[in-house]
This record gives sequence, C-alpha cells and structure tokens, in this order.
Amino acid sequence: MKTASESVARVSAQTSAADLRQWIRSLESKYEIEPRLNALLNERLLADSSGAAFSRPTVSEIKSNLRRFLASQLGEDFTLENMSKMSGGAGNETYKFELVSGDSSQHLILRVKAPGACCDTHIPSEYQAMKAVEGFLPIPEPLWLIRDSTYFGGAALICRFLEGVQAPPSESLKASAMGAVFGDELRRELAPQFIEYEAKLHSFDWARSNLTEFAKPRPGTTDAIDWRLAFWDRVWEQDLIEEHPTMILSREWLEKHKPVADHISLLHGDFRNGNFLYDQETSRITGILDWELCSLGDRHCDLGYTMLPAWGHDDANGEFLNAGLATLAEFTRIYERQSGLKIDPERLHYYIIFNIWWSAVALLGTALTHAAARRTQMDVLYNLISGKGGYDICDLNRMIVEN
Amino acid sequence: MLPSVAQQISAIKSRFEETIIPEIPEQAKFARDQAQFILVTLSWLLEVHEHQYRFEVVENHQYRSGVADLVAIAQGSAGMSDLLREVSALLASPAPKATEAMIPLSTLEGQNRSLKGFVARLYKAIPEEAPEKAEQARHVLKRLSLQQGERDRAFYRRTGYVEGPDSLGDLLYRSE
Repeated sequence: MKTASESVARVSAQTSAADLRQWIRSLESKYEIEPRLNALLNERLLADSSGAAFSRPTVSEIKSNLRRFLASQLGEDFTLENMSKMSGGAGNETYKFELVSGDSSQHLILRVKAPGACCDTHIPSEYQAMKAVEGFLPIPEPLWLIRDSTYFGGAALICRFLEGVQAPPSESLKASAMGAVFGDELRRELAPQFIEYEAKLHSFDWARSNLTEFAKPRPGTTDAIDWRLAFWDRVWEQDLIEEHPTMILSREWLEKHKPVADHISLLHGDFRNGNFLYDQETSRITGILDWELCSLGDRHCDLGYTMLPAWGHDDANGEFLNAGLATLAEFTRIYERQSGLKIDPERLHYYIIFNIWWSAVALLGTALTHAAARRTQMDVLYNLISGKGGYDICDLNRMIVEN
Repeated sequence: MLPSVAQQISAIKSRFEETIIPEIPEQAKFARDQAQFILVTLSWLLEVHEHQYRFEVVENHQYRSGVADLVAIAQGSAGMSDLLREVSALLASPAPKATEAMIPLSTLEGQNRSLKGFVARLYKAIPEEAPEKAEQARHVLKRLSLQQGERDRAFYRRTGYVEGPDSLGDLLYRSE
C-alpha cells in the first residue's frame, strides 16, 4: 500500500521525454515571462525528470572544484583555508573560505545554485545587480561570476565576506532571521539606514548599468507585474500539489487590480530584516545581502515585500513596525525624502497582497514539492516553513476573501 | 494536510541519516547506537502511522465482541454484578462502525486532492459558460477558503508562524 505522501511530484524519472517537451511547450505558450526565468524553469523541469539521484557534493569536493576555478583565474600560487558551509541558504548554498596568497589573506564567500530551492533564482542576474549597486550601497563586493557549470553543477559567484550579524542573538532560532525583533534602541539606529538604502536603490538610475540579463519593462505600463504574475503562475502550475480556494480568489483579485508602474526601479526582491548585516558595536549596517530575487519593476513591489505583516510586529504603543524597524509614517517620511519618489498607498496595498500570494506559491508549492521528491537537503526546513505558507493563506483570507 | 505526517517523518529520517549521523564522532558509541534506534523507529512509524485509526477500530470491534461473549457466559453469577454493571456501561458507549476508516488514508488524500482540482476547474468553467452564475460560484469558493483557512491556522499553529486559539484536535472534533 502506498503512503499518503507518495506521488506528490508531477515530474519524475517516469515522465517521458516527449511528455515533458510537450508540457514545456504548453507552459511557454501560456505564460509570457522573462527569458532568463523561462530558461531557468525549463532547466529545472529537465533536471527533475533526469532520474539522477539527488546528492550534494561534500565540502571537500566543493573546495577541490573551487581550487580548480581559482587556479584558472589566479595561477597556482594560493591556498584555500578554513572552508565551511554556512547555515541558511534556501536559494543558494553558501560557503565561507580564506584565500591565502603570500602574506595576504582574504575572507571570501562562494554562492552556488542549490538544486531543489524554494525559489528559482538566477545567479548571473544576482551578480549583475550587485555590480550595479556596489558603488553606493554596502554589499559584499562581487568578484567572480562562474557560468561554467562544470565546476559546481550550476552557476556560482564569489564575493567578499562581510562582518556583522543579522539579528540579536536572542533571535537566532528564527529561520533566515525572518521577523527578527531588534528592540527599541537598536531599531531606532538601524531603521533610517535601512530605509535610506532601499530609497537609494529605487531612485538609482540603472539605465547605464550592465543589466543585460534583465528584461526591461516599460514605465507607464503593467509589463513588470504582468511578467511577475506569469512567472509565479507558471511556478504554481509546475509545482502544484493541490489547489487552494484562497489562492484562486487571490489570483483573481491580483488580475483585476493590476496597477501601472510610473517608474521602473532596480528591485532587490527580498529587502527585509534578516537580509542585512550590522555591526553590534556601532549599530551601522555593514551589508545588504541576498540579491538573488532581483528584477526591474515597480518600487512598490519591494516596498510591499519589506512591509509584509510576517516580518514586523507591534511596538509598545500597538503601532506596527515594518520589518521590525519603522512605522509606516516613519518609513514614508524617510523614504520619500531620500528617494524623491512617492509611496502610493493603493499600489503598496496591491503589492503587499502580491508578495503574500507568491510567498504562498513558493512555500506551499515549490518548497513542499521539492521536499516530497527528496531533491533538497532543506527538506525538514521546507516542511516546517510551510507554516509561513499557512500564515500567508490566513492573511490572504483576512485581506481579500473576507472583504 | 500539507505537508503530510509521512512527508515530515521521511524528511526527518533523511536529514538524520545523511546530515546528522555522519557528524557524530566514531567514539561516541552510545550516541551512535541511539541514532540507529531512532532511524529504525522512524522507518517503523512511516509504515504504520497512517493505519492507527483503522487499527483501533478493528481492535475495538474484536474486543467488544469478546467482552460481550464473556458477559453472556458470566450472566447469573451473583458475585459479579458490580463488574457486569461496569462492563455494560462501557459497551453502551459510542462505538465506531465496523467499516469506519476502511478507506485508506492515501486513497482519501487522493480523493480530496481531486475534489480540490474540480473546484478549480468548475470555478473557471462556470463564468465562461454561464456568466450570470459567476457570483454564486464565488460565494462557494469564499466559503471553502474560509473553512480551509481555519483548518490551516490550526494545522500550522505549532510551526511558530501562525497564531490561533484552536489546536487541530479542538477544531476537527468540534466540527463533528
């Protein structure tokens, strides 16, 4: 007798090549998405059906391949020391190491595309976005983009290691420091920096940057949101385990209320507490991390994400602190002053709903499908953070369905 | 129920086997032994947990029948009247039907998944074929959304992401 969780994944080694090709053609004709993301989703379907047993290289295998790559760039006169896998890494696997050459030593980070990740992300875009902003935002300096998959089985990047912490030690049990609470004194130090960096990013003129990986939506249209909706629609269709009435009603609402983007900004995609580092002594933000969900689009998409109910909490007066850092009034004042761009409450509301919806797609669709199909080492975490997907459903019911 | 209990046990077993056990030092013999016992137990749970309710139903019927037979034999023995009164009270308590839980959990789960699929297909088809009935269909979907949302809130409560007053047990047995 089969167990109840079997047959969850829709694509497996049993899927014929012809069926798969036909499905990919049908998905491509149904959903108009950015070419880089279309290719990514096709590659994943092909990999999922390859029948290759899931296994991840050991740290020493990664180290050996890293050595091979660096030798191709630097020659043989170096050693790699203290290499270790860092915790987290839902989208990318992250390794820390020291590159020692003569008397100099550099602390660096290797980010490798993780198979079976809960979000499909594109390392070459991540690298380009980081290069575009490195002059005006604190980020880990990107050093190499490795497109050749013979080194790590997929694209990878190497950047500098930054000192700092994501959250106070008391918050260490929260996955990816999601919803981290900083305390009143610290949040007053961090909030203006955090908001100013988001404002600088959105007002940045990216037109002269090398962003060849990105499709360019037109201002004054719904291009950007059309592509994002189509992307997540396709992900939901690929990874659907079972339909959910709340997801159907929410998607209907999102279609009906699509706003036009007045201005196209470079978006981080995951701008929240837990995705920046700060120095515990000085309370200065030392780095904005995790650029893997970057895209070009309406700034309200990033702002709506930053202001998701899940990342914040109420202060002592019962006022909601977005990302655990600032009330909406504080946020708006600093953001608008720094960026010269307005926050439109209607568009902000739309993109809060949009971000909750796609979060549910990723957590109740992709993450659980990969966990069921044993395509990831993050299976226990993915099962656990489906609770966040449940939270998203409750929020969508409260914000859309009940009204 | 997503993720199912089986999916969670299976993932825990994989992480334990592939990630945690290799990191236990060779000389930590007691810890390594316990880890192996845990693995065996998880395999055992994976095989049996879905059948616990049916197991209890089958056992309930067999023992009710056995107890009833023993009561019949004991009738007329004056010294056993207190014991027989106690037994009668238990036999009079609500019993499951003999066919209860005959549908295996995996079959029931598949059926629910198909029902949800039909909800989506019908909801898409109705406005196309009969636009005047779209609002009625939306009303049904809204009801289903709120019902499932309430169940999701209770189910995910212990993950730490959702707050809710009801445990899953409170909710499911109340609706009975």
